[in-house]
Amino acid sequence: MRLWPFGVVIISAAVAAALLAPWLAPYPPGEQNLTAINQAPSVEHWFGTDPLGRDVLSRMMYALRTDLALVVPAAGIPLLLGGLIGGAAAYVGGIFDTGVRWALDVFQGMPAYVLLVALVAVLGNGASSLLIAFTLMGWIVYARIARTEVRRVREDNYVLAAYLSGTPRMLVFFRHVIPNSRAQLMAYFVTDMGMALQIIAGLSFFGLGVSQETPELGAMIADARLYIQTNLWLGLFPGVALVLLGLSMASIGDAMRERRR
Amino acid sequence: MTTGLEVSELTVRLSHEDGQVVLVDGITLGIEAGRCLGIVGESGCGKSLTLRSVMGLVPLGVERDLSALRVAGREVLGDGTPPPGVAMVFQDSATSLNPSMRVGSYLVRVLRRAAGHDARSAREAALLLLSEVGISHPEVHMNAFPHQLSGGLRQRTAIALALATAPAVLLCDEPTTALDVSTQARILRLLRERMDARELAMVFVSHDMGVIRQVADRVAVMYAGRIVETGSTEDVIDRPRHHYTRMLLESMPANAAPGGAFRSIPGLPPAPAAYVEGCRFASRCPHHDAGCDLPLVGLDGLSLEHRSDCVHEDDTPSREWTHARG
Amino acid sequence: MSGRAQLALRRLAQVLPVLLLLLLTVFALRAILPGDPARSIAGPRATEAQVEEVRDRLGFDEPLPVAFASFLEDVTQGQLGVSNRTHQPVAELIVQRAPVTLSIAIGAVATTFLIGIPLGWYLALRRGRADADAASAVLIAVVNVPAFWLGLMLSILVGLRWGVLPVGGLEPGVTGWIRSMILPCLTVGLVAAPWVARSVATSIGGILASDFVTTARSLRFSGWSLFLHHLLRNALPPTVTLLALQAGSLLFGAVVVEQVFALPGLGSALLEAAASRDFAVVQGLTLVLGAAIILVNAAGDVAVAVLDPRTRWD
Repeated sequence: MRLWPFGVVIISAAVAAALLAPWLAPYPPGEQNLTAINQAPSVEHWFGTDPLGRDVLSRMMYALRTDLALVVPAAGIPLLLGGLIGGAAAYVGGIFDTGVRWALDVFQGMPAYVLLVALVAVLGNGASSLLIAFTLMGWIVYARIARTEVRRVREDNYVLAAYLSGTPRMLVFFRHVIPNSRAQLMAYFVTDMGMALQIIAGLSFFGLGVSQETPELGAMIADARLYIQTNLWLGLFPGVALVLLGLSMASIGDAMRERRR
Repeated sequence: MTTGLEVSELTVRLSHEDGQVVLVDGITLGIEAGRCLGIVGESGCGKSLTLRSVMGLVPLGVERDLSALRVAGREVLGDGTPPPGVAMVFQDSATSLNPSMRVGSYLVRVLRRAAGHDARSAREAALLLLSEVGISHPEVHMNAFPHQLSGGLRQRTAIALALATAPAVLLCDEPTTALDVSTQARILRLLRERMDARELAMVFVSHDMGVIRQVADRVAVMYAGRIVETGSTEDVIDRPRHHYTRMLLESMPANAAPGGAFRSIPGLPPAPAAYVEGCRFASRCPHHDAGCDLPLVGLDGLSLEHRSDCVHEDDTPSREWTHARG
Repeated sequence: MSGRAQLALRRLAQVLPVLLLLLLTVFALRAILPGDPARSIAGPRATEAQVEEVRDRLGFDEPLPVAFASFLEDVTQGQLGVSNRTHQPVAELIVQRAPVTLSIAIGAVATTFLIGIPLGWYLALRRGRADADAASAVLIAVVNVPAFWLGLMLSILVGLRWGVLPVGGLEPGVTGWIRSMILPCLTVGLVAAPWVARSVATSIGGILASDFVTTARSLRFSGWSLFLHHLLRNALPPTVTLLALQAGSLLFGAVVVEQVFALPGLGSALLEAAASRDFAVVQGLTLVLGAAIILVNAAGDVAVAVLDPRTRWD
């Protein structure tokens, strides 16, 4: 079933909501209205209000800003690092490639999620510790994909032709090899952003993400825990947003991977 | 001579979203016990599908329709499951044997199901069968997994499995195509030998005229879902009546004129969706004319022994006969 | 037989560098501690003398190789340090908390496969029909549900609304233990089962369309005997591979749901320690949970090799 067009629509809407939050959000995200707490969805508050009387929709739009701003580098930095390591290893070959291949085999066996928690725990809360942890654990898959793709492309005729016409090796790498081995990396990048979103939300849910004051989807669900018995909406909307965003990124990633086959 | 297998008016259709296409177009064939019918033609003309349909093993979305299916004179047209008395040997022995079952336990299981052996007698029968198909150390062979065997030994195993059901009819779907030339010759000899010893009726599908000549008593030439010529192997190969058969024979490397390159048939067989009522070979035939596009009725009745549906035979009244009812 | 033993040994040999890297990483965690690491480890309320004691014991003044050697020695003796909050030895904490995590992990694996395998067979056998297509679309959506959120929603619905099952903490007694495990296991199982179902469906689909199943049919195998000897037997190795691959993330799933359902397991201990910067506990739990995941994955590989006759001869 083709889900990706819906994915594109949902992601575009989310990005727009995040970018335009200061103009679109009906209320400031931190504005408390103690006369209207724990309200169900209504015309004034589409997604209801939280126990401090803050507008859930507005907070969600700002939470999307936080999450999307984190997700892109959380997958993007490992993409650049791993892509470069794996691509260079395959391109250069020899002992460097053997070393990288061995390292990848060992690193791939590492329990990534547990180490992610430990790294964030040790580094302390905040965006930079999240990004360091994601980079340390995330580059491996990208390096593996890049290595496979570059090895495939390296043998293609146009690359050989470029050598024979006297183009310098570095130039061939950046002009021919990288553009042609990019597709699978980009497909995984999109899928990976979806997974990173879920992990960041999960870490924030457990108090290990960004700082407490920043609106964030996982943290919003955590805040809702105490009141959820009386106000189900509080946990429902951020959760549904997480599911939809994850689903969208996964389906777009899948579609990108299929198309290049 | 008793009849072995008779198949009447077999039609195979593939259903899809936009409708149906006919893959095999109402063919009738038969062969006596102790004799071999070769079905020959290019890839994609419905040869394998014909065998699978007789066996009741059509893929998902494909349905078969036939008016009669008789084995040793008995009507066995049932619910579409494999008809009793018929066994089949498949093309690629590397994929057609269960990879996780030892040869011995597979054979024993088949023998117990098909012939009602108990455990001990099934084992003895299995050993006997393996030596019958020319395996020199049957006890050792029983313990092997398929991936441990060579292609030739695997195909012998597949033949033993087929024979374990004590068939009257053996269908062979290009059983030697995946093998090297010398193994191919040995397997052909083995099949021919078993056929004689067991009085089997055999149907042998191949795209290779050379193989057909070695193994078959009669030949049916298939093109685009139809049988276009049939007769004794000698007649069809020495005196082909259909232009397709003629060109197929000319395309065999062995038949190339000395010093000259052999001639392949230009173009490809049509896709089933493009099948026409008239001669389906016309688009590739250098001799085709307006008569070829008129609907065909079937093989001519000039001689029951050697029939063809080509309209270009000036010395026969086939054209008038064929189109009298068209 | 010796072939199998060799294979198992070879796979275990591959585990060693991974375990060593894990040890190195866990050891290196202290190097990235912000501020004075000894003070961080000793805890916020530690006296100057206690900080000095930690600095001395962990060898912060010694060269790194020496410090790593004494770390290795401690680990092999089961000395994983002391919590800076409760002053409980970490090893003791792990022994105390492991049963909960183990129960959830086993229960979650069972749930995942009890849901996933039949669902996968159903999808494969009814491929191309409307109900199976609809089911796979739903499954794709379920894969993207975060476990912590699903746990929360389940606890509201089943636990609080209907009041049938406990949603927080352990109930006393064996029945109470089992009752407390149902929702956590269901949470992990529901999220992981679609993965299993999809890959089971793919491998069964491949087997159903395979030449050897056609051969088996031509040899009059049908129904139960076709299923048992020709389908199931060949579907087993990929299923076990899947189990092994999923084991790691299932164990992590257990970690997550413990916290959601307030169960005293290793995962909740890790998350509590992480939130309160209890370094020795984070270090010890990372080591133990990490090693467990690595070993489970290796065990799965060995099991696959033993099950699949084709690997025995390679």
